[in-house]
Amino acid sequence: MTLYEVNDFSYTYHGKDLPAVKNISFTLDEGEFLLICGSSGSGKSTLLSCMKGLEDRGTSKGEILFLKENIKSCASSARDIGYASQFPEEQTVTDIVWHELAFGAENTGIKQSEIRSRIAEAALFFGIEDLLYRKTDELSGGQKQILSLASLLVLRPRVLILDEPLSQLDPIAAEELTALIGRVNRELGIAVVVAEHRLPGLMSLSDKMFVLDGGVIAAKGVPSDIPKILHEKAHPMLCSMPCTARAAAAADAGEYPLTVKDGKAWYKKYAAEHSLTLPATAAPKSPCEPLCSLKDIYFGYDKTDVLKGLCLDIFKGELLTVSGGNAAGKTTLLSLICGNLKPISGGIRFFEKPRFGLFPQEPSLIFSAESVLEELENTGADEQKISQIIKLCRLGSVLRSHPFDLSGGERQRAALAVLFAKGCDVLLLDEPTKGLDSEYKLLLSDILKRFCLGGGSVVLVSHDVDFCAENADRCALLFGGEITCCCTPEEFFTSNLFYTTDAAKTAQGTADGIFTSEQLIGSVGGNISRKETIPNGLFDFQTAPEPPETAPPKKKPLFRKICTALGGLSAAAVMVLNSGLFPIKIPEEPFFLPYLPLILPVILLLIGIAPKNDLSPPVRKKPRQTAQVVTLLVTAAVVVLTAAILMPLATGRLYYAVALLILVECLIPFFIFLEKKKPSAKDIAAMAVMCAAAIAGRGLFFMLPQFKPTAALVIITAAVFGAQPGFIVGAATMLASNMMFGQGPWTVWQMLAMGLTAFFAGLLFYNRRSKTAMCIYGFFSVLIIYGGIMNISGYLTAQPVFDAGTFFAYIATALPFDIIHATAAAVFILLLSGELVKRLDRIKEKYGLFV
Amino acid sequence: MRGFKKYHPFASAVFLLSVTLITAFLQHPLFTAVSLITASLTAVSLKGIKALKPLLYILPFYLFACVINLLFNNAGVTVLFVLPTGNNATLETLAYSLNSGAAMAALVMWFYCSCEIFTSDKVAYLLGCAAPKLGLLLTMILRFVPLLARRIKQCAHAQRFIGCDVYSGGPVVRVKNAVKVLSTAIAACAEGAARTAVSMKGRGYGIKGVRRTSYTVFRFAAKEAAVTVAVFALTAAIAAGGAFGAAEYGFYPYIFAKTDAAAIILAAAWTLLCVIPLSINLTEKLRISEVKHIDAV
Repeated sequence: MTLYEVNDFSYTYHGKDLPAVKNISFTLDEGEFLLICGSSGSGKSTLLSCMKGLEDRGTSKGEILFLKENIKSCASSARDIGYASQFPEEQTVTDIVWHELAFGAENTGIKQSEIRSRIAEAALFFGIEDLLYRKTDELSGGQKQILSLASLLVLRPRVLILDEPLSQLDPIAAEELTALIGRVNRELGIAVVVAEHRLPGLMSLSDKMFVLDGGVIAAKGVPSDIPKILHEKAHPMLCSMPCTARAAAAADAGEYPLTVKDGKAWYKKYAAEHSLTLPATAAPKSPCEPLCSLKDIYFGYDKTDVLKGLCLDIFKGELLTVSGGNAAGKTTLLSLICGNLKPISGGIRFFEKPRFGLFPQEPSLIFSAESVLEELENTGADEQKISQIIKLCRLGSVLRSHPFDLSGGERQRAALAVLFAKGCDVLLLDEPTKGLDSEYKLLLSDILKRFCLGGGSVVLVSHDVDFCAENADRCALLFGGEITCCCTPEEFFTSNLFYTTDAAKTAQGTADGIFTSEQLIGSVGGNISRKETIPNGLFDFQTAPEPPETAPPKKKPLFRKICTALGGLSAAAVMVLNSGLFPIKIPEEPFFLPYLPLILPVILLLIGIAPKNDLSPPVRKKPRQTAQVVTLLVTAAVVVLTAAILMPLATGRLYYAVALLILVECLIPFFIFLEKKKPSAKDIAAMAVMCAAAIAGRGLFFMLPQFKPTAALVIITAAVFGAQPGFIVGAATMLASNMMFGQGPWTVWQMLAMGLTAFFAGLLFYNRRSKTAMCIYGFFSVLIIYGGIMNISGYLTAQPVFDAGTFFAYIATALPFDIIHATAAAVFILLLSGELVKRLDRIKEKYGLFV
Repeated sequence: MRGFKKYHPFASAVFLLSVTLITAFLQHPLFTAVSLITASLTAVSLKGIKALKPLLYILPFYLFACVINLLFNNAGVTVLFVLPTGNNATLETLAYSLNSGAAMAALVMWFYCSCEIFTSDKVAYLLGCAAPKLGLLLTMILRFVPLLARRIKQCAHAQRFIGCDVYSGGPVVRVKNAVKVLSTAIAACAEGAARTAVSMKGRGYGIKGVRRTSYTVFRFAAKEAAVTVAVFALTAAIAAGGAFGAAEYGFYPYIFAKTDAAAIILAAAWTLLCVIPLSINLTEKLRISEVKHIDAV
């Protein structure tokens, strides 16, 4: 039975001119295994997400039929098509493994008892019973991928669509996952569609394969024919085929072995008939100057030691690769070298002080500007250098793009470019080849080699054995917390039996010195052409230009200076007076009197500090605030009514009960709104991220105790996302953060207090916003709305009998803390809003959030 | 060991809600004492002797509340001394402050127990029953917090070498850089949220015409039912007794607390309610030690 029929399908993204995929036609039968390969940006991911029916903002031509129904209107696609994107980290939705497994089943409305048995089945099939109660964040990369596969199978799909499932895994985990995918296909008869760069294991499993190039199908057929077709066409994508097939192609052998087993047999036969051109043993690199040496490094978190007595020397101008299993401590090693972490014992000796460049696993963390070009210019490099780097990293076509709009490979190139532009002597790379196609890997290796020739050192941590074999000057293996072997790639890869390249495995026993695919192909008379020309002089460190001095900051007008000074002085005076050091009479009535003396100084201060430029929001189509205003009014009416009827009746502890009732009344409408409105997946994910940011952001400001950005982040979120989502974000943030720092009777109060703070921010700033106004609002809302509500809560909790004297004494003692919180909110809004509002606005527009 | 901690969240929620509410609203000195002692013992049975630490932390806070009360509150008839401000410090106020301090301490201990019992998945489950979307949101927040913390760290590490150092320099520069790191990490994660949304949609979130179910690993068995019924019955009895004035108490103008037969019976019921988790935990511990003993033989 035919599952998929794709007829002449093309797809163009929203706002793009050229189609991402063009004129694609194929069919997929029940139980078939289809493998799609292609360089990065060739349209693999686009095609896969179109096959799931996820792309809706662009324009498409032709059609994709699933079970004879157009995919866009196919009701059964949620159950029948399992889809996993290429990002295992963001793929996970929930915090605990069993919930992650149940997530899909919950969405499709399956009954509790059936979910239970399906989870049990899936867990058994994939052997992850032990993980059921673990936190998803603590799983290794391989376990995460297995979990996402299992969570798809709980839905009992008829086809699995997997986008680069292996790209983030080490060789052992990749083989494990490949085997599992094969089992799903063979034992359960579920059709599988995989897009992947790492082909060898998958090619022998698949029934059909095609190669995408620039959005069109370049070759199509059974996997064993693909290398032949590419070879006959002399297509550049041949370089993505397994090395055995490429070697055979280079020898014009007429057969194209895909596995090491077949390749080994063929190579032996070939060697018996022809003479091999063995690679000249490279002259050992002349000993370079040492750069740094790590001696007896111990490092660990809590109880477990990650590194135990690690010793390693790094030389100038060398490319050192460090391999090892997942969680072996490779990333930790990089952090120790560059000083981001300090060893518990042992020491690192530097022979000269180098400039480091750290390439993180998630390259988007490097970017902070609006376009790739701006990103490069911000580093302070001169124009000539920038243009060389652009050429080198092939960024010409994406210069004007926003860094986050780039594809995975382009993003990595851009991140590398930023590091180069900033200039560094030691480049520390964490999994740089993740998700890269073989073409760009060649380019990357050229870049790195040239960097080393210029005197720079590279320490590269990677699972990619082929890349290490081809480019390393020395290879190290990190195992059990120490470097178990550190030698030239020749020694490293020819002596290893398992942890080695396919080329070495193939040549073992026939030509023992061979360990890279280049050598293997060379040995049968082929050669790999490198067409890239690298501009010279790029990594000439002697002539590296000094970064230009930053322009002096613009002078502040006198008026603002006076405002700052006056505001600061008087605020300090009020704070000192209120601190209780001086016997001042606490005003009894009205209750807001203690806050009043602060208003003027703070306004002065904010006018003085706040930059003038205002944050103009993008033009909105129509303000949708009627519902919000109505909610607000209804809530207010109910609250006033409750207070009016019940407060006179309440005595003693019942005050607290009435207050609690009012509180719950205030919270309910917002949550009813959340439940009824059915927020889309995008909205709920965005809200969850912003809440998590408000909680996790606290840790970053360890240098400022009691001075945290939580309220500021919530207010900014509300200003961008709107009043309703703002309230939810504020309330949920307090709820979740108390889950980590301890629940108490205060939780409900905090939820309401933070929710309202955000709600009014949303009402005020959704359509018009300026930094100054937001700062002033931040200060007063935290002081009065948040502080006020929390003071009432604290007072009522501790003192059941309401009494004006004790109440004002309570407020006066709490005031200094409230002022600190309020100042923190204002300061963080001042600092954060500029960049964050712009970025969140962009994300909101790009993904169409909260419309 | 199963213990009270592993009971269905609904049973634990009913119990904890009941004891905290009664502790908060029925501050008869006898009730307060029972509550404080049983709460502390329950905390110890859950987490060992270090569970008593919170008591140390709240001590200064309530001493302070006591002082404030003495300073500003002049109700009561037995004057201890007269303050320079002209306020009378009375015995009644002191007794009242001590009693409500003990009640607060009991509440803190019950909350400590509930934090220990209510792991995040239980809270998410309970919330999910009442408000499924909020429950899901909470689960997702709990999933994103460690991811964001990791991303922020990675970002701080990487940005350090491109001119944005959080770890050294003056405080102003560090805060400025930290702000930049934070907004970069947030932006990266918000982009990631769009991918999470794709994954959610891919697994059927928000498909039309389907009512989302909510799955849980917790089972509501006979034991849970028994505990729930017991809690409801005892709570109803205490509430009724309290409403009819069987446990009357007061501090102003003079100290007064009923200790007749009805009050004692009510206090016994209250003790019975409070020791439920303690007795479950202790019985199971006893059984385990018996099993070990048999094994050893």
